[in-house]
Amino acid sequence: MNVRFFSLRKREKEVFDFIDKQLSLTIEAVDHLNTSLRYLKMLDFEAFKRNYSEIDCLEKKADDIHRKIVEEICKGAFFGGIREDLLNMLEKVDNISDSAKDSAKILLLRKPEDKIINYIFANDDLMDFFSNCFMAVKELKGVINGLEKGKNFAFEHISTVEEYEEKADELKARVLNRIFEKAEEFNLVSVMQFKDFINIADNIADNAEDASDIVLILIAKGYS
Amino acid sequence: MPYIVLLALLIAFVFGWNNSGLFKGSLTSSGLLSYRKSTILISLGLVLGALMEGSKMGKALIGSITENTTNIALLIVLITTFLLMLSFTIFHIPVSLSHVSVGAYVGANFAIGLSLNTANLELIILSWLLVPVFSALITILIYNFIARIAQRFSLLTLDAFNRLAVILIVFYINYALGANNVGLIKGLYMPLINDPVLLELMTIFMAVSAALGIITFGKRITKVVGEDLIVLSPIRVLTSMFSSALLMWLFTQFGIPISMTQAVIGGIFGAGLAKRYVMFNRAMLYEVIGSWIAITTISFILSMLIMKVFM
Repeated sequence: MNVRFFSLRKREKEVFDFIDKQLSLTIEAVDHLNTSLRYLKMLDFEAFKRNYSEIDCLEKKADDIHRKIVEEICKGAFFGGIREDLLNMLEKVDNISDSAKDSAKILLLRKPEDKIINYIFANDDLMDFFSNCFMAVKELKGVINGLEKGKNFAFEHISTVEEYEEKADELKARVLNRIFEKAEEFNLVSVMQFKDFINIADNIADNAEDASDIVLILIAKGYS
Repeated sequence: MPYIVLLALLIAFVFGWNNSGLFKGSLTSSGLLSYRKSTILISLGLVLGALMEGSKMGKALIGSITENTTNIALLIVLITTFLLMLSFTIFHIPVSLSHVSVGAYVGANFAIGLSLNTANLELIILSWLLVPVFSALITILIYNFIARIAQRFSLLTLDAFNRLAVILIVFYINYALGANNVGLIKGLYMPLINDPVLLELMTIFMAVSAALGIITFGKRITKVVGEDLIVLSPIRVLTSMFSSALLMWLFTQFGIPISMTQAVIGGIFGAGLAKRYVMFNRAMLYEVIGSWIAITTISFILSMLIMKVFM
């Protein structure tokens, strides 16, 4: 009986291992975005470009794994009642690496002038914003891995994801305000580029929070 | 006799079409087992239930409500049961084989003036009234126990538990249905077949016929009973289904025919009440309760009228 019972978990365990891989790649992609920003701060646009190709590669790998997981779930892994929520959660995780890539792509379209870069990086708000996005994703990994360990483990991390997301939101507003305060002094295209870059990057933390909210739904459905 | 045998097989087919769709749906919609495997599991449950414990229902009608009956009365009971089961099933209304056949049996025998054992009849009706209540209570008890244990599980273990439980419970439900409901119909043709081998073969054919009914048309009734009535989590659905099967099996031990639909609905409410909040479709509930009373009454009247025509 026990052997049969645990063999029922095999396929699902494999899916969870894949989810873990997808999350690791996503975290790496967001981390590379942080590195890219450091290059930008140093006005090294070539290094920024090189680093983008790393983000692009990681996003593709995460995407492939996401597709594999979706296939497994559609083939019948997991109980019917939670499949839809799992797929939604994975979609949110996939959106994180997409956002990391898309935001970097905005700055890649054209090199913003040094003046605006120096102005934006004059304080740490933008770097802090990205640190919070990164931490939100890292905590999300804890939330999702927690599903393998028990609901209390997941609960501990869910509130932390939310805290990071709120902090990221606050910092985003501060950075945007700062940019638009002196918008007339810069090239308008560069201003719009940074505005789009920050808005898209903000989706990293938003999607991490959305994914952790879905974990709450999974817990509510599964354990009630 | 050939007509009676044919009618019994047809009733089993319509019974499978109407009732057991509920339980096949759990397997196929959750994607747990393939269509073929779930069909085998259900058929196995029905056949084993009918073969191993179906004879306990042998005296549920003949020998309980009346001392004896006539062949023509038996024919009328089977015709009425078949016609009503078929009509309600065509209109996608879950109908209880026990209600229809007991109503028809009382009607036909009442028409020919046979004395009815009212004490036993009252016992059956009382059981019908108590089944949803018992089912709700058992579900609350089992749910509270399972939900407490489940808190310690990881989502993976819980998921595995749910999937294993669905397979076992669906088998058990069909086993109980085979024993109680297929056994009830078996009790109607039992006096006409003296050969014990033929009798067992006939039981297998009945169960296979019911399984064919499930395979062919099961899905629509599933939705009426399960999805449209109430919103529940997997653990609650599973505990309500298990309680229903357990209750039907217990009543089989006393030879009392009961309705799985009634038990399931009681169980579903029990599962909802266990957490004090529940979203249910009131109109759908009234429709189902109304149909229980109406079906038994219609079955009684129809059977009596047909009997009068034949007399």
